[in-house]
Amino acid sequence: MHDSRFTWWRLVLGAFVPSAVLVAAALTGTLTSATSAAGLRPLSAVLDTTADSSSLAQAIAMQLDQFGLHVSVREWQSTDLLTQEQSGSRQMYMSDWGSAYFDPYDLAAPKLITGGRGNRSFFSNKTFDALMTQAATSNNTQLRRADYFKAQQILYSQVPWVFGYYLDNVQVASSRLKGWQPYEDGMEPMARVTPNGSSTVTVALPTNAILTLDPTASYSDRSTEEVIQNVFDSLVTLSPGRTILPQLATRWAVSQGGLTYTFTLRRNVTFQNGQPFTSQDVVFTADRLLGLGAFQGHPSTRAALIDPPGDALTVGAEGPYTVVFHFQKPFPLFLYGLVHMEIVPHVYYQKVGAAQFALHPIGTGPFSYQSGSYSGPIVLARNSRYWGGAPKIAKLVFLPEPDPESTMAGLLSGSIDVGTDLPFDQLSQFENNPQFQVKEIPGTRAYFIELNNKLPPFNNRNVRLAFNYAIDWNTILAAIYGNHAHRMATAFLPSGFGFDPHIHPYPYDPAKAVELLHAAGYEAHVP
Amino acid sequence: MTVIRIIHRLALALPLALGVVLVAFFYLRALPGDPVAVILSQSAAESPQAIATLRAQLHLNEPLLSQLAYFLANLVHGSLGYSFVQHVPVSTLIGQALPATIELGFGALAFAALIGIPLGVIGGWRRAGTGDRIGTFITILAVSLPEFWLGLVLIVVLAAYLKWLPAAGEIGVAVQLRAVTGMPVLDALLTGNVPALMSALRHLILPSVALGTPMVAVITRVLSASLHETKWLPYITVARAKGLTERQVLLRHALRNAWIPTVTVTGLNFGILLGGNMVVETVFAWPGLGRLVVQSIFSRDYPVVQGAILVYGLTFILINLLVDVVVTLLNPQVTL
Repeated sequence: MHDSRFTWWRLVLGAFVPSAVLVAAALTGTLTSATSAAGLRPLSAVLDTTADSSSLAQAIAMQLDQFGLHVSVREWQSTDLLTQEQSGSRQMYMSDWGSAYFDPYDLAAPKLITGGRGNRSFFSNKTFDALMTQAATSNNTQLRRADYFKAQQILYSQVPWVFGYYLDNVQVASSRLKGWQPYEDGMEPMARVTPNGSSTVTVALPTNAILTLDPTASYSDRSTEEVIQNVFDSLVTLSPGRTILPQLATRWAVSQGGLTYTFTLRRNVTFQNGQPFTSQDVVFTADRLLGLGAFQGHPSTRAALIDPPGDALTVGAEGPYTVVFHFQKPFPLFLYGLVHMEIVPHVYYQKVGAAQFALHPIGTGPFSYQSGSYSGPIVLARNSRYWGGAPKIAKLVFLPEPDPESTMAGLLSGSIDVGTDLPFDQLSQFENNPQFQVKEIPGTRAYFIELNNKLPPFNNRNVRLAFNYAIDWNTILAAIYGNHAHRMATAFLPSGFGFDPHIHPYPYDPAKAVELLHAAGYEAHVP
Repeated sequence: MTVIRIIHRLALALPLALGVVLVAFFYLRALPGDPVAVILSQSAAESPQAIATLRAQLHLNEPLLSQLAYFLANLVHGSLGYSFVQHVPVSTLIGQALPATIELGFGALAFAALIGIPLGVIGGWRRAGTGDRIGTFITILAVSLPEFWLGLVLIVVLAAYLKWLPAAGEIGVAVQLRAVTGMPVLDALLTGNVPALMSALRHLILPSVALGTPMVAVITRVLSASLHETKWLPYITVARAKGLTERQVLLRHALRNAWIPTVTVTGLNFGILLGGNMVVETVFAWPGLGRLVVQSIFSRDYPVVQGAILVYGLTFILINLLVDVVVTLLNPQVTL
């Protein structure tokens, strides 16, 4: 057998020697070029992304390439990328982060405070940490705003990220829905809509499936919340202008120091099964959210909405129509979190158990659950005994429709009445059509490029700043999103509390970018 | 005798299904990505304590073999466990998705048979005739059209512009129907609900066409080829010689033998359809198994994926068995 002489070491030699020669050649080449250009080294980096942002990442990489920077795009599955980012081994990644409070408390704070749960840029600044922590635990609005203004200055000068943009949330509805407002956190606009023609209204949800119908379960999903807020009420809700309005609570008092909140509950409210709503239901709901073993043996991930980790919030009833929440430390955003604490009926919930409740929920909201599974159409029927007045819509259907093209076809054919998350380049056919109404609300999700502040080359502030100057966001965003994307100067959303309108986003300035890169010791040239 | 053989085959299926599930169990856990990170990412509770608690509750902090023991113990008790993400029993989720997928599978099969069998018979019996040429053209077209494109074109033309057929869902949202099996067409038949039946059938047409089109090609080509082969066998010549009409020769003799490979191939393809088709289910908002599985893979919802793979394994085994039984009926020479 002549072939058997082809042993493993020949294979290794055959593969290893040529590659070793190539590596050596490449290294020598790098060394000589590095020494030749006045001590400047070439800059290369990998821009990580998931499939969603892949085309945007490609556009950015192409722009950076024109400076002579070597930025290549790597596409990941989101879970893999998340693990990699957390391990600190990646350089720069397309990121986004949603905010529920209209406050930096759950955007800039978790993303940028040292060791914050979402801090994957490993940015660390003692002054910033102190300002953000003070703002999160103070009831003094003036002081909080001043703290946030200072924090924005720090971010602006330290540039932990390539600051990005936020998007308008554009929703399209048939013009037969009179009085329609786009869904926003805390709003259940369908209760106020008067439909012309059929009293059945179908809303397409841009998702494969909602996650649950139990508001005390662990979920963090906009589509799920939209369905739940039509079936359930919270103690308070938000107006479109983001002021807190009474819902199941008619009024409330905050103690001096902001540690105790006393709510007076609405009387004569019944759940959809006829049982009366009392303080026991509020206490039960809060216990399910806060209890350590309350949710199938683990705390609900929604607990932190009303109780920031590390606090000991206690809840108690004083008679059937008064509930008292007591904090150990002030939590100024409590009412905004309370918007998402939808009240479940304690008698029914305990009778059927969590698993059954999540499939057949009962609340006090304007619509009651009738039929449907999480991935199929979820059919809600008008709650004619709703305390706020019976809705005009008799049947409200939520249809999980993950494909935006199909949602558009459904809108055009009249089988779908409301659609969201439609492709931005397709909106014009609805905007110019009298059969539709198109409305937008500012999105609460920030998009940006997170830089690893601990690894070269982005451990150098000059490089981070240079990247902020080197990307022509306005051109890229206009091409992809039309006029529906808006730049952010730092990590603070204009719709949130404490936004400083006097800080403007870094402009596209190639000369400045090149100057900064040279200062950091990297090769670059003006495109 | 046959019954005993069927039971024997079913008994053999159990270790096979278990093997499939074991492979799925280990393969899923070898995938990068952490379910806890997915569940807690971006939620306000992503603190180290919350991560540790959740990991402990899902038994993800324990060695693989002990996780496997929990899974198998549950399985022995007839439970597939709870979904990590949706917190309801996996059997509930699969039980909701499977009927939709089965209905769509039968719809696609019906469409494919309706078009494929006549085309195959014409093509095989009159090789190189006009009918065969048209058939060849249609099958090449059918097998080349990607489902997502065909689905969208059907929606845009027939639903959005002509408004003849609905674009999304299993049944009209205003239709009242008592759920019995979870398959709207069958439920409407069982409860004698004519408006619901019409609505369900209208909803079934477009996705069935999109899903069944590639299968048209399969049925046509296999039937045509096997019929063409049969045509020159001595027993067909005998049948002709004894004076049977061409029609009798075709239907009673030729077709009977040509069915066998067609049934086998169609059966296996049908097994694939019962796994759910993510693309068609997404385009037509069809709440089936394909969407559930893909979504669960992305969110690393191990119990749901394991449960679905178990269902896949059992479906394939059953379909194979069914195909074999049908073949023995068609050709008594073949035994199980």
